[in-house]
Amino acid sequence: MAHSDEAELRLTEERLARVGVLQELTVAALDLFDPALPMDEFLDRLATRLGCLAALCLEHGAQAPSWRLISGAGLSRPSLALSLGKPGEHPATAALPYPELDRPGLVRWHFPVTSAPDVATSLLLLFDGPPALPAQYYGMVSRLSEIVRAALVHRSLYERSLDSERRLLEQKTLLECQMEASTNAILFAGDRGEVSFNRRFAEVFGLPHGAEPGFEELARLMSAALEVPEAMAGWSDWAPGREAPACHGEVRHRDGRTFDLFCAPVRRQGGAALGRGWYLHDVTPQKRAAEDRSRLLAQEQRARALAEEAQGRAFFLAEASRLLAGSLDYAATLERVANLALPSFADWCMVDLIEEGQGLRRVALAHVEPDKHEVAEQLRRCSVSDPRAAPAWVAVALHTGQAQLHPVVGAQTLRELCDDEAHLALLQQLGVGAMLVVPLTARGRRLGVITLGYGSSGRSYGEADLTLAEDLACRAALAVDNARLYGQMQEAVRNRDEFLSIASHELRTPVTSLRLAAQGLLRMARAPGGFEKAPASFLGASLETAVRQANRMAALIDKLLDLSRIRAGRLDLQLEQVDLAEVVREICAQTAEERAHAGCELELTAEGPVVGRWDRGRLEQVVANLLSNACKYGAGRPVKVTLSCEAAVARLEVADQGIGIPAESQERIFERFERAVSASHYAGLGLGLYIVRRVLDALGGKVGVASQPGAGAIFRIELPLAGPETSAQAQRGAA
Amino acid sequence: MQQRVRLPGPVMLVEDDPDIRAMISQLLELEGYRVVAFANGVEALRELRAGLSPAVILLDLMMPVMNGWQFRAEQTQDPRLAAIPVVVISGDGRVSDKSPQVEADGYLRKPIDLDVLLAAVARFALPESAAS
Repeated sequence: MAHSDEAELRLTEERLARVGVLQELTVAALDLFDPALPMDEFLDRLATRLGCLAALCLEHGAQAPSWRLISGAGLSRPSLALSLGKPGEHPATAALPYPELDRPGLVRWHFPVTSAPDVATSLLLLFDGPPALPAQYYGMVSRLSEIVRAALVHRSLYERSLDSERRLLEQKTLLECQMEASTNAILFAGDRGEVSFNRRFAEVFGLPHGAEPGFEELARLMSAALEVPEAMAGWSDWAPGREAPACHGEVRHRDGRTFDLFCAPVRRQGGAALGRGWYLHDVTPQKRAAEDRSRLLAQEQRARALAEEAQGRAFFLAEASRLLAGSLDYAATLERVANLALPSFADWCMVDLIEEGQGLRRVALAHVEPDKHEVAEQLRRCSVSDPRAAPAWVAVALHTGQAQLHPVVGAQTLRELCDDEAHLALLQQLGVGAMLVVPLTARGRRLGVITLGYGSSGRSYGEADLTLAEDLACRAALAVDNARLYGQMQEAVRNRDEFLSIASHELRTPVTSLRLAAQGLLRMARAPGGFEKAPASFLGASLETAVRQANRMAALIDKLLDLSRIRAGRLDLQLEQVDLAEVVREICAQTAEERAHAGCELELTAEGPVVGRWDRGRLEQVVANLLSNACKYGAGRPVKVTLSCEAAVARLEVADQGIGIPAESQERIFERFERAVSASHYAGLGLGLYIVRRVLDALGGKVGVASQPGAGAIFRIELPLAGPETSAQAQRGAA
Repeated sequence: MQQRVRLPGPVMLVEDDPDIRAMISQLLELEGYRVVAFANGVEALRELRAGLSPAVILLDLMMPVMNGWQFRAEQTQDPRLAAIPVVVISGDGRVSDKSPQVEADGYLRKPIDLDVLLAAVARFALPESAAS
């Protein structure tokens, strides 16, 4: 019993020792849970308690070529650095490189403690010969290896957890750096009301450094600083915990910058909302560049439009000039020019010209709308005989010589521009929205007015149009003036030729008599016997003829000189007290011979004296011309001369009963080189009545004629006894 | 120019200007011609139709009452008068240019040269008496 007790006691002690070792080693293995602690201590303790030569922990990664020593106890420091055997060899059987273990009878205990699927880990215990340990120790170590495996699993997990935590931290730092470095302003608001924003955001919204505003304050700041288009309503309508859709658009900061604003929920991977993010990208430079581009484009388009407009104007003017220069029929040409202005420069265009003796004539009226043709035609016929009675806009332009620009013509303005009711009604029908009025002026004389108007097109006139119209008017006026000058010149040439023809004829008549008289005398003188044999009557008659013809020529030359004087405005008067009755009687006496030739008897009634302040010589000329005409055209019938005086005005009538003067010629006969009848019947310069009228003008009197063809003519003269007004009186009268 | 047979008979002068009329008449009379002078075409035509038969007519063109063109037209239409030679006296080339041309047997242009006048008359008329 004692023996068994002793054996039992030993067994118990043995068990207790084993339990103690297990407990100690288990505690050491539990330390392995702390990844900060190395395995060395555990392996040392294991080797010591089990009496191993060495305790090694090895592992073999799936990708690694061979096993690797993680930790070892019982090896020298150089040995720890040695690399393990050949690839693929299992530690349970492979040769080991450590010199300490190079001994025969080495016993290996091998325990796989693999803790991760892709890594094989082994615990290797090496004994110098069979271990002097109870058999249960192997099982104990095997169980211990399970604890080691668990510890290693934990250790690995813990390491990985630490690693991912570190990586997270790194990523967070990186993200924060990126966020800070971003040129976008970024705000994130979490569902719990927490906010984060970057420096750029703080700068954009003027947040002081280090400020930590809450979401509500930030939302208020953003709303105050940004002008957000209506399309983005609700961009700030968000509160922590609320769902709101994403929105995107362009917003303007009150400081002038433009931002592209994107605002969207931020979600975690599963889709649940974490909060909301605001991302503002400053697009001001792009915006400005785009604005610059569009401004440049607009400028270019404007410049192009201007250039095209200028080209249009130049073309119009060139075409107008071509038309104007192409013809002397200026009325027809102006009609074409008026049409040329449509529709580029006017909806309608009218041209009024002052025509000599006809007043104001509307030579052109063009309208862009065919259905206004009737109105235009009526308006065209609205000519007035007196330019002063023209509608206000025309009269003003003619009077001032100034162009008028009326960019907008309303009802009231139109009424002011057109004070003539008939015109007004027609213009209203024609349509007037804007008007340009330019006078036609050439060589300082107003020739007429061009009026351009917009009606139905609703367009308006500007300064450029005014310039164009003035340019056009200038060219048109020049053309009209040229055409008229040309006409006048042709008329003048015709007059001159006519005058030369008549003058030469008039001179030929006395020269013929004179020459025949002289040649007759000469022939006499050369004939045998000379003058002695010549009949005395012939000598006397020839000499008388010669003298008379010389006088006639002298008188003719005087008439021609008078013409020159009158034309030059130098009809000098020698004023004195003259008795007109005496002058009339004298001239009647002097022209007795002429009357006798013409067969006209004279009936003179001159109650004298009729004394006035006149030029005697000129009065003689007047009376002689009238008497001469009366004889010339009196058809041999009696001529009646009557002088009277009434209310300080002398009246002289010279009446014949001859061929008379047609009504249409009664004004014309007082002009130069004019006569009522053909020059082939009646000789004379055609200057007599012209000189009469000019002399009477100069003396302040007047001359008129009453006549019917075939019933004779009565020329009446009125002469104020006071004579012509002095220049001072004339000036007062004019004023 | 073919010399025409000179005919006896007076020289008829139709001219409105009294001085020219008197001068030409006197000069021709001095040369021995008989001259019958008239101030216009109407008077001359009346005398012709009344039987006056001149050797030649000196006809001015520009005259009142009846001018030379009208006279000539009347004369050429009258078979009894048409054969009488006519010498036209024209005042001015220009007027003649514009006026219808007058068919005539001779032309004198004012101012008339005496020798030309005498030669023209001598072509058609014979002096009735010798010049003194």
